[in-house]
Amino acid sequence: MARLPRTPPAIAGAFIVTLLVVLAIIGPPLWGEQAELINAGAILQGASAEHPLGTDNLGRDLLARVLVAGRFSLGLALLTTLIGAGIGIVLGALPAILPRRAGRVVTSTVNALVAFPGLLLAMFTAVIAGLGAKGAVLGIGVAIAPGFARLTQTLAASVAGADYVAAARMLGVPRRRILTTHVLPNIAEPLILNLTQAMGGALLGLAGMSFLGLGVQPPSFDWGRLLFDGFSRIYVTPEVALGPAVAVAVAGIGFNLLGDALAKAASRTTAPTGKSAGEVPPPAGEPDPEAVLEVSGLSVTFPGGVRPVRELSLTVAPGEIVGLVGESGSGKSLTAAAIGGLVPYPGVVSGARLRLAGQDLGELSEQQRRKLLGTSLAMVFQDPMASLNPALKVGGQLAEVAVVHQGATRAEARERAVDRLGHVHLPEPDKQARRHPHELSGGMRQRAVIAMGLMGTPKLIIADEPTTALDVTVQRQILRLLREVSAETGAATLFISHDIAVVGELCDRVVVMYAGRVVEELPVEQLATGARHPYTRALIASLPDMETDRTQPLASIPGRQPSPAQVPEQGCAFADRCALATSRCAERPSLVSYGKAHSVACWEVDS
Amino acid sequence: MLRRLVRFLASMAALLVASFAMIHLIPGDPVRAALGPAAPVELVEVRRAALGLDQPVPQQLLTYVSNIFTGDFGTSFLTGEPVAEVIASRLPNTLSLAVLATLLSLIIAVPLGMWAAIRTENGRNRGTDLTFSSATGTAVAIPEFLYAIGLVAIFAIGLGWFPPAQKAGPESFVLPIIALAAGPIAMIARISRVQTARELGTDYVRLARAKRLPGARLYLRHVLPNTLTATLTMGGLLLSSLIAGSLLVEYVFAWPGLGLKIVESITQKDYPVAQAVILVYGAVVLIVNLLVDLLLGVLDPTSKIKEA
Amino acid sequence: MKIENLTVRYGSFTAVDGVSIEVPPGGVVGLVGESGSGKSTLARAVSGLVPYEGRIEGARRIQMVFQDPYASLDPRMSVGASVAEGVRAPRAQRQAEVERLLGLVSLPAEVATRYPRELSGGQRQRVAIARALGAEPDLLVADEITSALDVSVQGSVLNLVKRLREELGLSILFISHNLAVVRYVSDSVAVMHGGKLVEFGPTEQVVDEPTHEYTRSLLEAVPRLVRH
Repeated sequence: MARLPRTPPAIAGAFIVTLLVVLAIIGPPLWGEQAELINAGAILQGASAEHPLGTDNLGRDLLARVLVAGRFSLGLALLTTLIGAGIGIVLGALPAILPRRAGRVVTSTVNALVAFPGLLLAMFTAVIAGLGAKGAVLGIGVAIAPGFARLTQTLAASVAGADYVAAARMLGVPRRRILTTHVLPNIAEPLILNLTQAMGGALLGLAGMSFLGLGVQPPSFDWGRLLFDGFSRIYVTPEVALGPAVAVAVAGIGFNLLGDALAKAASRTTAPTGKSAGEVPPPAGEPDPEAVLEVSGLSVTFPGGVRPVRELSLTVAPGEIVGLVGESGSGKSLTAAAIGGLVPYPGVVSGARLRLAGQDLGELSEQQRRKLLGTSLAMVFQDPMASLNPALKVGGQLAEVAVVHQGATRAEARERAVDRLGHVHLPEPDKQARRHPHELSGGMRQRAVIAMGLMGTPKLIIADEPTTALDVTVQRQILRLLREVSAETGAATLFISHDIAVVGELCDRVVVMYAGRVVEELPVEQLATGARHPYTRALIASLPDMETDRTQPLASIPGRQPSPAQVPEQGCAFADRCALATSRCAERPSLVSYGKAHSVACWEVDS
Repeated sequence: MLRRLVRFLASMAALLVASFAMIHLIPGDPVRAALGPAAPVELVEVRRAALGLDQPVPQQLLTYVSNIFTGDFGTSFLTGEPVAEVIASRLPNTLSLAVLATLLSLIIAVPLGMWAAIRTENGRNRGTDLTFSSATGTAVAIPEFLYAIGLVAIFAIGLGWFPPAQKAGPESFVLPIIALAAGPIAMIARISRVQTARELGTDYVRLARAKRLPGARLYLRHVLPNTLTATLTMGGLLLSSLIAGSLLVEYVFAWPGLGLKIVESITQKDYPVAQAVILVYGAVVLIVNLLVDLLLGVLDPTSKIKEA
Repeated sequence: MKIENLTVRYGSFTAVDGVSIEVPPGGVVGLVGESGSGKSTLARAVSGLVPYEGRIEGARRIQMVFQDPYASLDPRMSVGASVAEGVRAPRAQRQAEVERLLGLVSLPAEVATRYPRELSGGQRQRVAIARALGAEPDLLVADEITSALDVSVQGSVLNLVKRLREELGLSILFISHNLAVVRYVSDSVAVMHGGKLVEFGPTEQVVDEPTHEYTRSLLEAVPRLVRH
């Protein structure tokens, strides 16, 4: 069972619901007698010291009646919820059991009923079942059933489609066993959690029916009935309506808050909490005036002292294509985000220097920085399906860069957009510009995103796994396009990838990251045979290519990369997995130059 | 589109049969139940014949359906008025409340939800998050009739600012509309927030941010249109639920709408009226849902290809 | 094991169109293709998860290992219980059998009491393989089993596939979009494109002398490290 989150609404909800349960238990024995005590001398009174909420037409104390009515109101709501959930779950499970056609009929009936207001269903049922508690319970029960049916259906369908159910089917596990061991346990929790919210709904629905005079009839009484009686006197003594109104409202709020919290608990993912660790950035060296991008001492810190990127330094020369390679969790994508100023909250970027196109981003005004980043930096992300706004036409999305940052008119911007689309070899660019993204293939969309980057005068293109979601033949075309764009515009490219072979094919220089740090930087010619760091070497050896010897086992690295929270503060982060590790590795090796344009962070290499 | 139309017609037919069946599903003799045990047998028989209840059931269904298509919804047991006239005079009052309340909810809730999502993106401003979720969680849990009673007690009886009941001038609309809209505002604000938060996490928003678009352009041009589909769907569902939900509010304000009529007819066992009013309610809901579906098909470019 | 003229249709769309492939006993056949080529549908059809036309002969017990190790294990079931699902042994011997299966995929016996969320992607994939082996399959269908894994882990899973084939004489249909990976593990390679089988032959032949135009473009597109 998921744990209840400790937020004020959740605690308040749990508290109110507990209080209601206690009231239901102790209410009738404590105040039952007083609630039924007829006093002819005190009929229809307003609030007084003796009767804080007044009396009814038989002189009975209304406060006592409200307190006593809790048990009946809650009991009816519970019964209603069980009826509704029972009908709903059966209806929801039926399509899984019935033959396909009959199942479809049930599904579409449920869908039609879900869209139908519950109160109408309740009225309809109540007319048939007759006035009174029975009619109201059945009516509201029927009204909440379609919601449960829909929930059961979606949950069951998602579990039934899961790979682990397919695996069990292949293993010959009988259908009934699959239902009991896989499907039911995985849908039971969300269903149970939903009961709380449904209970709140049922309680309010029943109160509504009784308030209309269609539910509980005298001499029985629930909160709705008390409200019905009180409402008729609202012009004379409004306070008599107060008690039952507050009771209904508080109960509704309690169940809703608790139900909300439970529903959230079922789908919760833990977010890191804690305070961020203050870091003193290391001193920066002299700026390199030639570089397009110069990053030194860049760290990205999350609360709790988690640092996915650690004191990273990186220089990219004009026209150069630099590959940033690493496994998932190495910090390579966050590095890209930090350069683009897109690190998600609550991440904090600290760094001694971030220079783009010769300008120090720290020294610019907000306005200047926006303009510089908006026109000189182009970004391309992994999923071309998601990188374009589905609601806007391709041409318009490209054009707005020129309108916003370069003050172009709409017509000029559009013309430029069509021109750029042609530049990335989209056939019939004029036609594509008028299309919505979903009308383009994945490769075409990625071209359009690259074209968007070319609307300004990019000095640097940051491409974060731009081909990972694409097929190899399309990947090849996009790689070729990136190289062409770089050659033509003179823009440098920072190409981020987990695939060292792709990096090897495209880039001039390769930067290898491990656990938030650069462990090796080398020219691409040396990648295949000249890499020095044990991690780089293992990465290359573990990757089969078209020349790999098939009779030999592939290299593999034992263990796994430490997560950003587990990276040791001292020592080499790779030491645990490294065959060459010695006692010296307890101290962290720094990045040391090893030949021309080649540097390595490893003790074994320098010595 | 065609499939939606077929689904609509099927639902209409089912509704028609269900409303017809209602009278027959009532245990015992509805006429006897309505007239009470003291009524003479002859009167009951005359009434039964007048309602056609002495005919075979298929014949009755046929008559019922053909009558409805000619605009004849039967006559009230109690007043003898034609039900069609009752509906014609009351339906506009109900619809005007529901439409105004829906508009008010959308106008307030959608920007509110967007604002909350932007302010609390990725868990920043925990205070706003807490206030927003507590306030909406509370507001959504209070039923409309309690809002109505509270508003009447405070603003009509206590302060005397607005009329407590009946439909008169424009000021008589204020309290019923607020009572109807309060819960939906909270609910739609929450949905709008979730929708916006989801859009803010997408790559196209990251890309738009990388392009350094100004905030207004980013949120209004890029994010808003993508949340609109869900918002419209919600608005449609809301309108249809408010049409029905208004009956409790009508009851509190003695509003001369269909809701009040249905409550009266059920308590007085005036079955022909109850039957016809439920049928009309259902039909209005189905028509609203169909219109929303059609509107979505026109507005949303991605739903067009799904349909094709 | 022979797949003969296998066709899968979804409504009017033909996902797999008359594909015939033979997997010799103890052999590994690699199946490559891009997204939409029908290779995963073929895997599901062979495993009996989608209805098909055509014939599958010579394999009665077929097991499949899925791409996403995070979705293929029931989050509420311990690793031991998941692996035991396919084991036919009597109750008393079941635990020993589970341990043996975990040993086959180089996982320590203690893993049996853990839950999937406590394991890494590579470890989960090993559990999924152990679970499939429990049913003593005469054909194992491996559908993109390394594409959700990091490079450093991928190598060890590929080594495991080769070792299992040598030690157990397992027949494997190995499906991947990555031609280099397929080349490394397979004796013969089948290439699918648009639902059709465009080329099928011994690995060396397909890789070195492709006959079909599409195979050639696929081979050309494989990124390679230039070894100087």
